[in-house]
Amino acid sequence: MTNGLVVMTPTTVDKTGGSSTATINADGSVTFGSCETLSLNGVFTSDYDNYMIVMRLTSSAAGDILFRLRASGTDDATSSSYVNQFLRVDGSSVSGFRFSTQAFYPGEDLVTQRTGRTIYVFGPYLAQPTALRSVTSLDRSSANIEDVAATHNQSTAYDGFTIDPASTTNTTGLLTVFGFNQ
Amino acid sequence: MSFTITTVYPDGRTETRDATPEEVAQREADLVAFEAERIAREAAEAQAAAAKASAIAKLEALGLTADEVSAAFGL
Repeated sequence: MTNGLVVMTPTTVDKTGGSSTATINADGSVTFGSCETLSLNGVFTSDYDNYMIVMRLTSSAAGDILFRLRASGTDDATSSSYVNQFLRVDGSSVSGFRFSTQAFYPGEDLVTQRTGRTIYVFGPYLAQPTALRSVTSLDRSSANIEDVAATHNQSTAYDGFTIDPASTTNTTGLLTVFGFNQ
Repeated sequence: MSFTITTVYPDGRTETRDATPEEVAQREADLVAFEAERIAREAAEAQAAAAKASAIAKLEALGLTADEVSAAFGL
């Protein structure tokens, strides 16, 4: 097999939200609409160690989005198991903070324009702690960058993940998961 | 809180079921934890922004221009 990025088609997608929609497209991407949570199962496998998730999305209201690793259909929301180091650049203002919680926090989502986000997941299917990194471009003050590094301390093999536009917002967009075939 | 979970398959089939009590409890706990984190994070950001504004004001009171403050201290 040629080295490079391999599209990981989910075995199933779980979604919540009264008017939510989701489709697993023929090319392996997932189109989703008005989802209060969206879970992709079977995208991390023993074939590859590292993965890249590319998404563009908008939310029904401005707010934070959460990301949890998932094994056999159950999210890992272990208390304080995700340590997030956040960096935001807004004009000439640079701010950073760190916090531990029960989810990876890859940044914000906004209503006004499309948010673009790439999430790298390092070794999720290995039964050892997982590292994550997210880079987000968003229409906060016209243009912001949010760069988040995170570690997750559970030694579990995960085969999927959930994105969760927390509180009452829902999310609409498209995402694709790629495995790195070294 | 109650909600349904719909599973979508690659061939377009869907299955919908009610969330289990455990899933509902987890969702409620997630939202409570998230809200607490959000409040703490925004308070920390506001505190940092206030400290930065105070520092800029003190530097400008010493005679530095806004451009000089920005160039020298990145504020």
